Amino acid sequence: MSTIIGIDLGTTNSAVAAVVAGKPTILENAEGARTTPSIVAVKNGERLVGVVAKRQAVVNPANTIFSAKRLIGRNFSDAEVQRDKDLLPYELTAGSDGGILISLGDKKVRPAEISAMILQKLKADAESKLGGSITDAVITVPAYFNDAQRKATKDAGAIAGLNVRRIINEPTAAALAYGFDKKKDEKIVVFDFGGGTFDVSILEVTSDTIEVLGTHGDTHLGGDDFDQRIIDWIISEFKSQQGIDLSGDHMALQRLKEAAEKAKLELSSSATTEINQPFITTDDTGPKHLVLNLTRAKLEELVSEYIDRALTITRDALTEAKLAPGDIKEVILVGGQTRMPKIIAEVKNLFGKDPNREINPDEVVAIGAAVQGAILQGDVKDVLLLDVTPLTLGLETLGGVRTPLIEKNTTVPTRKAQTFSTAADNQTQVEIHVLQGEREMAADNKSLGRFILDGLAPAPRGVPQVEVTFDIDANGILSVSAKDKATGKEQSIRIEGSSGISADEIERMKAEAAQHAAEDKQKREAVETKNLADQMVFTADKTLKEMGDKVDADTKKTFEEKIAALKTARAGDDVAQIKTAVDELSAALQKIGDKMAQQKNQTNAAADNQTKKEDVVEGSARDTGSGT
Amino acid sequence: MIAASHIHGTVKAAEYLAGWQRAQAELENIRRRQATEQTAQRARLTQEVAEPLLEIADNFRAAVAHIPPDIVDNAWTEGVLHIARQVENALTALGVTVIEGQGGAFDPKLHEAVHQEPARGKPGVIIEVVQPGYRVGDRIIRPARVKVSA
Repeated sequence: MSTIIGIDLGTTNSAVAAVVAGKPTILENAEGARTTPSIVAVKNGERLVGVVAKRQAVVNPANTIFSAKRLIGRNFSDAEVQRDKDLLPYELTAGSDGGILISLGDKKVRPAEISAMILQKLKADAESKLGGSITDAVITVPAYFNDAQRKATKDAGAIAGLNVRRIINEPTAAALAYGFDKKKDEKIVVFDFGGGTFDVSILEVTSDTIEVLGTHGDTHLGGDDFDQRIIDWIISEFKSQQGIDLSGDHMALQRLKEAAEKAKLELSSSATTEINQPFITTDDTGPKHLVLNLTRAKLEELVSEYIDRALTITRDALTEAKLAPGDIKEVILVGGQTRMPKIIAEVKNLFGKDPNREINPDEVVAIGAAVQGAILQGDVKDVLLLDVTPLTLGLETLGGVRTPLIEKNTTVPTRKAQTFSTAADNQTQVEIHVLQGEREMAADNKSLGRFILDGLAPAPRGVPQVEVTFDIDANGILSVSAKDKATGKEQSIRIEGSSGISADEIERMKAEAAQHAAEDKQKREAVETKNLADQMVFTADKTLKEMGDKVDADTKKTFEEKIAALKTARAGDDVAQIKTAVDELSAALQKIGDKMAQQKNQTNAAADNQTKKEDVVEGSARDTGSGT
Repeated sequence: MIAASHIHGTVKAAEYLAGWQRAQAELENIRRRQATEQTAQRARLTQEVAEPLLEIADNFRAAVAHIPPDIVDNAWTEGVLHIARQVENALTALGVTVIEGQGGAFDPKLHEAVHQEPARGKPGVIIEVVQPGYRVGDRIIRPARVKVSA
C-alpha cells in the first residue's frame, strides 16, 4: 500500500506531509516551497495552481480564484457568501441546486472543483517527492465545518483522484502532531491564528477519540490584518516626514508590503527593527528615502485591537464550554501569527501555562494529518518499535577512563566494535567493565557488568588485539563480547536491563554529566597524560638499553636525566609539569633516534663489503627497536 | 496448544517479514531521494545566502538610476558604480542568474505582475521590469516584478 499523505487544505495556503521513515515530514512542492498558495487560475486556456497563479492575479483578476475554502459546501444565499461576494474579484452565481458556481474561463465550476485543482497539484508534487503514486489522503477542515462543507471537501478529494480516508478537524490534527491523542481525559485548547482566519477550539481527549467540545473564531481576522496596520503606519509616518502620500503608488506599495512583512518577522526575535527602503519615490526635489525604526512595543500598540479580539473570542469559547482556564491541560499554537511574542505571552497569561509551539505553526496541521494517515496505515505501530539508547554505553580503559562505544540517542538495534589492547607486558587477561552514563571517568558511571577474557598469549603491551563488540537488539538487550584476534578465544555477557532505567534517573544522569563536564574533562586529561608519561618512560628505557654505547656519554647522560625528570613529574599531580617533561623526553628521544639512524647507515655502508644477508637482519632488528 | 501457538508464530513472522520488507523498501527510497534532496539543499542554501544581497542589488540599481546629472562623470561616482557591480558579481559567483524579460511575453513561472497598463501593441507583454528577478538553476528565488500591457 502506498503512503497515505496528510493535507492541510487552507484558506490562503495549503501544505502536504507524510510519514517518511517513521517521521512526519513536510513535502516540498515543485517550486521548492513548504506551503502552496491555495489559488487557481485559468489563463489562455492553461490552468495554473499555487504561486504561479498568485503571480498573475493582477493581470487576470476575474479568472484567479482564491479563498475558495470560504465558499466550499455553502449555498449562494448564505449570509457569509453574500458578504464575501463583494470582497472577491471573481464572479459568483447561484447554481440550480442553490449551491455556488464560480466563473472560471469560459466555464462555471463549483468551489469543490477549485479545491480539487489545488489537491491535484499537491498530490502530483507529493508523488514526485516520494517517487511513487499516491492514492490515499487524510484532509483537514476547520472544526466549525458542517456536514455539507465536509462532504464537499471529500468530493474535492475524489475529483482530484484521491481516496479520502478521513476528514479530520484542524485542531485535532494539531493535537495528533503533538502526540496528545495518548493523553487520557484531558482538555486541550488549540489557538489557531492564521493569515486570514482566527479559530480557537477546545478538545477533549477520551480513551479512543478526540472530541471537539467547542469552537469559536473570526473568519476575517488574521496576520494579513497585522501587515496592513504596519503598512498604514509606514504611509502615515512617511507622509508626515516628507509630505508625500505613497498610498497611490503601487510600486512603492509593493515594496512596503514586503518591508512590513519582514519587519513583523524580525520583531518576533528582536525588540526593534529598521525599515530601510532607499529611493522609495521621487519628486521635483529628487529621490526620497524611507528609513523608519519600528519597535516591538509600537507594533503591539498598532495591532492591540486584533489581539484583544482574539483573546475575547478565546474567553467566550471557554465560558460557553463551562470551563475555566485552569481546566485546560495543554495549549497548542497554530498559524504563523502565533510566532508573535505578545500573542505567546497573552496566551500564557490567560491559561497560566506555556503553550506548545515546538512544531512549526505553519506546518503542524499537515503534520498531524500525516500522523493520522500513518495510524490508518498501521505505520505508527512500527514507529513505536524503534527505540533509542537513552545513555551512552562504553567500557573502562587504562587509568579508570570511560571509553564510549555507543553514543546516547543511537537508534536500536545497533552494533559497534572497537579493538583494544593490553596495558602491561605479558598481560594474559583483560577485564571488560561495561558502563552506562555520560561521565568521563569510569567510576562516575553506572556499572552494568564485567567479565574477564583470559588466555591471551604473553606479548609486549599494546601488541595483543582484543575486539570488543557492543550489540543492542530491538528489545534493548545489550550483548557485549570480547575476542582475542590471535587465539580466537571469546567471552561475552548479556545485559537485559540496560534500558530499564527510569526516565527520572536518565534525566538525573544527564544533568550530572553536564554539571561535572569541565571537572570530568580535567580528570580524564590527567589520566591520559599520565598514561602517556608511562608509555614514554617505557619506550625511553627500552631505547636506553638498546643503544648501549652506540651514542656518546654526554648524550646518554642528558637522556637519562630527562627520563628521571619525567619519572619525578609522573609521581606528582601537576599535569602541566608532566606534559612538559613528556615533550622534553620526546624531543630527546627523537634526537637519539636520528643519531642512531645515521650511525646505522654508516655501519651499513661499512658492512656492505661483508656478507649482505647478516646486515639486513641486523638492520631490521634495530629498526624495530627504535620504532616502538 | 502447540498448533495454536504455531499459528500465532506464523502470523507474527509474516507481520515481521512485511514490516522488515517495508523498512528495506523505504531505506532504498530514501537513498534514491537523497541525491535529488542534496541538490535541492544546495539551492536552498544559495538562496539563503543570496536573499539579503538581492535587496542591496536592487537599491544600488535605484541609486544608479538616480545619479544627479552634475556628478555623473565624477570619479567618486564611478567608484560607487564599481561597488554596485561587485554586488552583482557576488551573486553571479553564487550561481544566481538574473531574470529580466522586457518586451517579452509575461510568464507567471518567471514573472510577477504588479500592474497592468493599456499600451500599444499586443496585450500580455512586459512593458517594464520594475524589479529584476533571480534564480538558482530551476529554483526561482524571486520572480521579476513587471508591468504588463493590457
